[in-house]
Amino acid sequence: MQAAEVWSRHTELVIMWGCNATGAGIHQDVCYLFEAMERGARLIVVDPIVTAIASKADVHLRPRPSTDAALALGMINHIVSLGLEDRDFIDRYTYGYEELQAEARKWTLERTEQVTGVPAALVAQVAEDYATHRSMIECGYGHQRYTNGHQAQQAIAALAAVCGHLGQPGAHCNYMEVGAGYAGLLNSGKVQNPAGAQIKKSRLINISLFGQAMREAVDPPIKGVIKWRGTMITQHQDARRVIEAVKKLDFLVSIDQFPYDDTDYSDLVLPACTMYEQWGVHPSYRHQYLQLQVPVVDPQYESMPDIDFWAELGRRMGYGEYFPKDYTGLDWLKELLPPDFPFEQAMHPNGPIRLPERFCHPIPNWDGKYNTPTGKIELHATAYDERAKRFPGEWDPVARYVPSAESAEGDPELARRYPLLLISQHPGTRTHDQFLNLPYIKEIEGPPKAMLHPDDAAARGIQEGDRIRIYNDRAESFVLAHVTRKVLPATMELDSGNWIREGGNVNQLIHQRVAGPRDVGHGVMEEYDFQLDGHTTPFFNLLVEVEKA
Amino acid sequence: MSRESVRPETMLLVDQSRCVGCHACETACKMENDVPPGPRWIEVVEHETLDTAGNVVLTFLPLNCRHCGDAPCIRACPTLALTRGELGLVNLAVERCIGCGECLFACPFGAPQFGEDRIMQKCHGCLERRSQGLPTACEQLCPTQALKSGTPRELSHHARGARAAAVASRQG
Repeated sequence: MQAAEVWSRHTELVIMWGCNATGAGIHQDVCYLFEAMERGARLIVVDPIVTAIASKADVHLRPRPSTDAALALGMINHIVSLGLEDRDFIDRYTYGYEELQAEARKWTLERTEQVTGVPAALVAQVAEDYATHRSMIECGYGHQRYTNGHQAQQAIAALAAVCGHLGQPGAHCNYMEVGAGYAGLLNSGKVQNPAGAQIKKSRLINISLFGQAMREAVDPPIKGVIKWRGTMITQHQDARRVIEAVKKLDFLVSIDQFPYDDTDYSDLVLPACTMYEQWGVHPSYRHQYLQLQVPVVDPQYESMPDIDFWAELGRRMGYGEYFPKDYTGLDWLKELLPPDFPFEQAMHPNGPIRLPERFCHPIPNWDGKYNTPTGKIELHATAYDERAKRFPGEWDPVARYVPSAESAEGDPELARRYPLLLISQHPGTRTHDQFLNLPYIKEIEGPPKAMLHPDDAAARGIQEGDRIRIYNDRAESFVLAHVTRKVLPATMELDSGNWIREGGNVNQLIHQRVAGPRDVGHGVMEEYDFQLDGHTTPFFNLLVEVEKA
Repeated sequence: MSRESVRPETMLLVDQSRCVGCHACETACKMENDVPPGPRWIEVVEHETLDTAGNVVLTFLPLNCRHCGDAPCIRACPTLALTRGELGLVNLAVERCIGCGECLFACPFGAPQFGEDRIMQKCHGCLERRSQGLPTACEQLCPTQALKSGTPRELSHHARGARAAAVASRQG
């Protein structure tokens, strides 16, 4: 990411693409965006759903879900056809432009409108405005939650490269940096395996195929799991298959704060501290600051800080010399972070502090250097060519639009039975499935509701507030109907994170699939490169039907 | 009680262009005043409209007691539980309230709230915090700085300053 205090002062136009900043990242950069807009910057939002941030935009483009790559390619083609591309930048900093141009040429404004549903005149206007202003693209995960999400992201980055809107104050496209800024800092401390330690390299389990892979891992089989700081069941695709896998375990330990889906299936539940009871490090995906979290109350009842659990486990396994008994959370932070880290300054209420520049420059790629095999922005990804020699998959090196799996275009036969595409937003009132148990949160949220377009509702005799059954071949979910134009026709929305035990969970409806170019089979892998093989999980490739319950 | 009109000394400015409906103000208010689920002294209301071009647009409006200069609730209250208080705020004397609801019927903003005891409760304008020179709880926690408390003069100065800066930067 580019430093918010830099881009907000210099940019003339911001495209927020698939990014529900006001719902899922309000603490990150929304205030800076408003400052830029009050200074005169224009805001374009690309999102099929009418979010709060979309309602603040000068232009809101609403592509059909999963057609974002087509939209970006259509914009590129229009820009090039008008001669608005940055020739000098393309020549100096990109590789494979001709191949990209050949792909983009297929995307006339008419065809772009036909596939995306965005009027051609709007595509043209936004493309021209983007090309002719000092412009930012700020992406979220929305368009990445499909099997073609990597192609969408590649096409959006190509759009920025073709216009040369990179590496300058107020011109940037996120997700082009390799890893978040804080990763370097957190890996620079002195924590490492002791000399001579023999730690057997094990296999990896793909997060998208979790339920299946957990059962199919044989060498060695997975018999026990200790899970902490994350949700195994509620938040995974095809949650019911995860439950089946969990039931086959000999031993499941949950370190959790509240009883919910995961603890229902656990042999042992250890009470976890909240963040208010323990030391912690708080970096961000989207800005360049970091704060040390100071405990403000003692651990309550029998709960203990997570690090104390792992240290005690280490001691009981006979490694006491590495886990001193008197170590506090702060002592462990001092092991994790570099010795010259300004601890006092970073602690609340002194913090936050800016990350050291060697880990994240305020203006990424300011020097025109790109961390790729060719040292350039690879419009033709040579790393994909290499990857294709080693792993099966669809290693298309140039951005293109491929209809995503389980969508109207990607699976017309299934779409005849289940004609509605279901998207799940992150709930703005929670962190995923956390805090659902709080009466204060329920007061604001009300009971679980799914958004349904008035046309789709009328066709099924559904009215606002009706109890509805959302279903497909995998499962069913019961929620209340919210009939609204916030969703497009043939599209529904149901927030993620509703517990299965309380009803309204969306993930049990979702088929297990991977996003990204690599075919990982059943999900048991020797190695994985998330930058190349696939970065997210395709939570939005989901067709359903709905009826009044 | 005779009809009275007082220039309020403190108000809460709502910048709707910045409000995104996150409900943080509600949470701040509940924490500050220990209000259980149910009554909402401030509530952000979302409204869905079509603009002139046919686009769907959401607007958000945080609604609390506006501490009106000529407050209909004060006139409506039969037990004189509502009076003009310090800093021009509309003050509620809980011990006088009989929970009849007349204030709610009179209020154009739906501000009066009723808890399990059926006695009225509402925003008191964070009088204590304001007296200490602190912003209201909702203002302090608002992540987009959509809320600002102050005297009408201060708020006018603030709004005009922001407008002038925006115009200047467009011209620059």
